[in-house]
Amino acid sequence: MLKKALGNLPLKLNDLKIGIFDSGLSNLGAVEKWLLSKFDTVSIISETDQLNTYNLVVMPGIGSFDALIDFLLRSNRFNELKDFIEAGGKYLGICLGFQILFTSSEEGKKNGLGIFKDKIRKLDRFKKIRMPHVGFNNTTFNNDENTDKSYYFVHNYGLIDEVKSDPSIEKLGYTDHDGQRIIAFIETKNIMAMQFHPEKSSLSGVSVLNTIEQWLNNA
Amino acid sequence: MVKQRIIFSLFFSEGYYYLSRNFTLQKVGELSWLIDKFKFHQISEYIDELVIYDVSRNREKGFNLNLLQDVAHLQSFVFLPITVGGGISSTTEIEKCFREGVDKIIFSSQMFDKPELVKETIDKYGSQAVICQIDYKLINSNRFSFIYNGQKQHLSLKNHFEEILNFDVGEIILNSIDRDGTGFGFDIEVLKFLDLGNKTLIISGGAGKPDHFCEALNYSEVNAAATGDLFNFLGNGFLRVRQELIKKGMNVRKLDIDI
Repeated sequence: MLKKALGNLPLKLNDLKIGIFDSGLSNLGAVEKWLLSKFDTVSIISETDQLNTYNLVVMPGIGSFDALIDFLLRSNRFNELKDFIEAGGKYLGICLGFQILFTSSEEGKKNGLGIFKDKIRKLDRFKKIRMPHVGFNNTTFNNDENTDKSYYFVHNYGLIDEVKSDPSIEKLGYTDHDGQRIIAFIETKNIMAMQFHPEKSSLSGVSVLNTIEQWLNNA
Repeated sequence: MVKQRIIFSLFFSEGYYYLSRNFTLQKVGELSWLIDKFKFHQISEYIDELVIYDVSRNREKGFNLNLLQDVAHLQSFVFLPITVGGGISSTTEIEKCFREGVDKIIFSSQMFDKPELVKETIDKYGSQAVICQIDYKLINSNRFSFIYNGQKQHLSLKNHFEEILNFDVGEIILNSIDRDGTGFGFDIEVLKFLDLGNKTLIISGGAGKPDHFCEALNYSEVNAAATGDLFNFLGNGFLRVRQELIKKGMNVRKLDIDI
C-alpha cells in the first residue's frame, strides 16, 4: 500500500540533502522515518553544519513555543534560520515548526522568527471549543485540491481565523474545529509548513511527501 | 469537525504481547505475530491510533524502554499517532519516548503518586501530549477506580474523575475492568454518572464487534473508542469496524482509497 501511495513519480532527487533539527523537543524518530519512506537520506543537523548546505531544512516540534525558540537561541541557530529562510532556503515546518514562523505565540513570551506577521493564539481564544484539537480533521485547500483529505492534529495553540495577506503565500489550507477556523497549511516558494502531523496522518500524510517532492522540483 | 477515532490498544510485557480479560493476562505472541495477523502494513487506514501499554507488574523497574524498539519498528510503516503508557516514572523515560516518535504519554496511578512528574510533563510538552487513564470496576453497583494495574482500590469513580480535573490533561481514558476482554460491549452507562465537561473522552474495555464501536461513538461526548481484544478483530476486523461506522454515516475518517 505504501508503494501505491508514493506513486509512479521517478525519484530524481537522490542527491537531495535534507536536514532535520534535533531540538530535543520533537518526535524526531517518527518524522525521520516518514521522510525516509520517500527520500534516500535524511541527516540530523549537527552543531557544526551550516544550514545553507542543505536543500531542505526540516523542523518538527512538540512541546511549547518558548522551549523551541530557546533551543534555537541556545544553539545559535535563530538568526541563521531566519536568514536562511529569508534568503530563499527551503524549510519544512511541522506543528511547532509551523508556529515558530510567526511573530509570537500566546503560549509563551519569546519572539518567533517573524516570517509571517501573525500571532499564534490559544485555539479557544474567541470561541468555546473542545480542547485540545485532537484527531483527524478534514482540510480544504484554496487551490481547489481534493477536499476530502483528513490529517491528524493534536494541539492547543495555532493560527486561527485568517492569515495576514502576504504576496509570497501560494497555497493555504484550512480546517474547522467546533466552528473555529484554523489555518492548517501554508506554502510559499520556499516554505511548506503545516499545523497537522503528516507523519501521523496515514496515507494522506504519506502523499504529502509527493507534494513536497513536486515543490522541491519547482526550484 | 474533528473525527471520532478507533483506537487499538496493545499490552506489552518483556517482549511479548498479551490478551487481557478482566486484567488477567495471557501471552499471545511477539510483534511479528501482530504485524502479520492484523495486517499492520495496511492498518493505518483501518484504525486511527495505536496505544501500547507496558503491563509488566514490576513498578520498581519503571517503564520498559524495550517497548520503544517496537515503536521504532512500527514507525517505519505505520504512519499514525502511537501513544504509550504503563509505569512511566521519570523525565528521562518521557524524553526517550518522545524522541522515538511517541505522540502522547498515558499516566494513571502517577496522577496520585507522582503528581509533580505529571505537572512537569504537561508544562514541558503541553497538555495535548498527556492522557490520564482511569481503570474502574463495579463494586455493589457503584463504580470505583483501581490503581497499580487494577491491584488497589482507590476512590469512587466520580471522586477520582474530579481529582483528575485538577490537572490540565488533554484526554481521559475510562477503562472498564469488568468489561475488559469480555466482548460484551463498552460500559456506555458510565457516561450517565460523570460530568465530563469539555474533556476529550476515550472509552475502553469490552468491545467485541463493530456494533460496539457504533454504540459508543453514537455519543458525541465520546471522542474515541479503544479495544485491546486480540481475537475479535483479527485480520480484517478493524476494516470492518470502519466500514460499519462509515455505513452508518458516523463521524469517522473515510477510507482513503484513491491515493
